[in-house]
Amino acid sequence: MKNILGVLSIIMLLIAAPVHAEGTKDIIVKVDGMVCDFCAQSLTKIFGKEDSVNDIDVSLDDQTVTIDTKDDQDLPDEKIKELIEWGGYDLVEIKR
Amino acid sequence: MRFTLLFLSAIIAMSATAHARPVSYPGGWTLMVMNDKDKNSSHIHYSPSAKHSIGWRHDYLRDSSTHIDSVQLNNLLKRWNKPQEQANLYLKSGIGISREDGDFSPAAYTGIAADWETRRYFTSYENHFLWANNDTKHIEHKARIGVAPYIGDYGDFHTWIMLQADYDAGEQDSFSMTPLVRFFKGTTLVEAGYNLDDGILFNFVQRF
Repeated sequence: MKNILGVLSIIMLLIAAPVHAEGTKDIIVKVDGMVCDFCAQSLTKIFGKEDSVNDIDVSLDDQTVTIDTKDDQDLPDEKIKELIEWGGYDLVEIKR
Repeated sequence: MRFTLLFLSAIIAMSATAHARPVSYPGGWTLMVMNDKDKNSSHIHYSPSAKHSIGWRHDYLRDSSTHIDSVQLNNLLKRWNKPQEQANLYLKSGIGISREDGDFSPAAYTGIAADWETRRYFTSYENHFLWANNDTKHIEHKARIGVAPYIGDYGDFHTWIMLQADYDAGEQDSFSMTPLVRFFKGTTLVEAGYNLDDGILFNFVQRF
């Protein structure tokens, strides 16, 4: 019984907080206007300067920027919107 | 041989520009080198924001053997961002000094540039009004259409096939067409073409 409860607890924790093995979190941001590598590079550079960001992945196919934040830090939606617009693009939605 | 010399001179002397965007990301530097049948140009600029860039530009007009050094300011007047497409309207202006046969005189230029692109199609138009040596030297109109034969994602090697039309409404009053190819990977863009009247086109853009 203890083992079952232990396993269930771990599963519940994993569902509640989608955290990577390295302790990082992904934020998926959909952006309008990304049509080339220069666009992708712009957003990679801009988000890469943020202390809370661990890694950036841009998909031109999906028109998304996936932000990998450090486990003990967050990047608020308002900040994400500000950075997207500072780069010259339009924010569509943020998925966490 | 001529192409090789142009390529080497472009890279080594950093002398020339390209048809890529005149404004980079905030804090970004861009080197643009352009060579066509009429001139060699180089432009290095810094973008304090995504709407402005300032930089130094050098032009060599081959017909009149005129050198122009200038400070160029580029402004993004308007950008339209849509899903899978983008359009831009820029104002590009500069002031500087021209040198022809050892004589120096003020120079100034301005022009509008517009583009619309998806990941498959590209169109652009720009004009360039240049005053130098106390006379109007050039009124140029340039338009492009392009298509990507395949769609690559970020980091892939991109290829474009393009056709450029040039109309010089100044002293020369000439019209010409230049088919070209654009290769694009990461932060580097290279274009090579051949003007149907005469002359090689070679453009190189590097972002930092």
